[in-house]
Amino acid sequence: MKKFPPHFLPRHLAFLLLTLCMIACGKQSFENYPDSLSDDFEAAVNQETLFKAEGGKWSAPQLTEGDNNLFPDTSRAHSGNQALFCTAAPSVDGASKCSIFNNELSLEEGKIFHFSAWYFLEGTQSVDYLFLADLEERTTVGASPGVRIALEDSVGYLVMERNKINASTLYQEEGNRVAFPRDKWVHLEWEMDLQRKEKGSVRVWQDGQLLITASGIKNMPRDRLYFAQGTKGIYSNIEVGITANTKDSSVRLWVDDVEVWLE
Amino acid sequence: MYLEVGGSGGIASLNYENTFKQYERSSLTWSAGISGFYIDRNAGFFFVFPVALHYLYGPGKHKLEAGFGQGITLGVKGSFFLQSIPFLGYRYQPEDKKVFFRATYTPLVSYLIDLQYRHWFGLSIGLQL
Repeated sequence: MKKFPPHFLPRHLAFLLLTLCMIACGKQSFENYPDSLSDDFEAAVNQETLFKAEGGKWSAPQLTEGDNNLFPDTSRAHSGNQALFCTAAPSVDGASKCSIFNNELSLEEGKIFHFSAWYFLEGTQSVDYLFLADLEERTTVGASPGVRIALEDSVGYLVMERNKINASTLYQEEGNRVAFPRDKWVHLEWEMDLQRKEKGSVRVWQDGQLLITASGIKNMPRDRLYFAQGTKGIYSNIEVGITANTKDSSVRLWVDDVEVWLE
Repeated sequence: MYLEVGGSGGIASLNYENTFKQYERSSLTWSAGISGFYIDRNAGFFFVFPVALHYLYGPGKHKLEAGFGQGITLGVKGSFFLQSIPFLGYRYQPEDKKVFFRATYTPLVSYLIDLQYRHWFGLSIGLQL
């Protein structure tokens, strides 16, 4: 049996301990981030001032197609003088995105997540699988898994999609579906008991009407074979706007009075 | 060498195995394998290297197999992660044949951040070189 030199084990043990410490510190850093966010978009004067680098509340934009654009706009507002305007081309080769995100939040498992925002969706075009809000967890290995609020069908019915956490989409009750209104401000409220196991809950309201409700479900990602590794039970990222556009149409959307908090 | 579908390498892996201790009714071996998968253009491609110690018990061609190792994941963009890969199963390995087969229960156990246990299984076909 080959004998290893005396320094072999201490040197490699030190490397392993350092690696473990770095990974453990990664979880600790998210636990120190805020668990709330609110923005009425009144303070921003242009796109750059939406973001933290210029004193705003968001981390960065996601703009994937050449003509996709977003900026604070005074032509419509739910409250105050302006709202966030987003315009996106159809998703053809990959997702067409026109959104803003904050990736320095700490939305932990076991807490009740609340989201409130006002949306103005212009026009009557098909909006099948237009995504409006995403929650994502940053993992060591993976594709930022999480859950998303979308409109399904050309008419546009709110759903909560859970594909990225390997679970089924939650729909409105068949026969009692209510379409997302167009050309008016619509209040979207989203509440979840955040859980990685099948003991969480979800409720989604549209203009005060409860349209989606589910309990005994998971709404946070877990490690999955090698495809998702390092999940911590903490959503660190919220994204709003046109987080992924429909394949069917260009979309013009305003967002205002975004609030995120835990209880 | 053995090709494993499912198992400690995730979806599939190619593994090299070497016996380093031979007893009358049992043996100890080590293995090192390679697998890979692509997530998306943001996350990129990942390599998985399952490395393990195997204990084989059985004097004839039917063997009980147990072992423990680590699944090492390396992303081309710099990600690194470890999972434990214990396993327990059956190996059919006749001495007069080059081909052997394995069927194993191969759970994956994350432990670096918190403890997460996932059931998984593997089937292998191997060639004694």
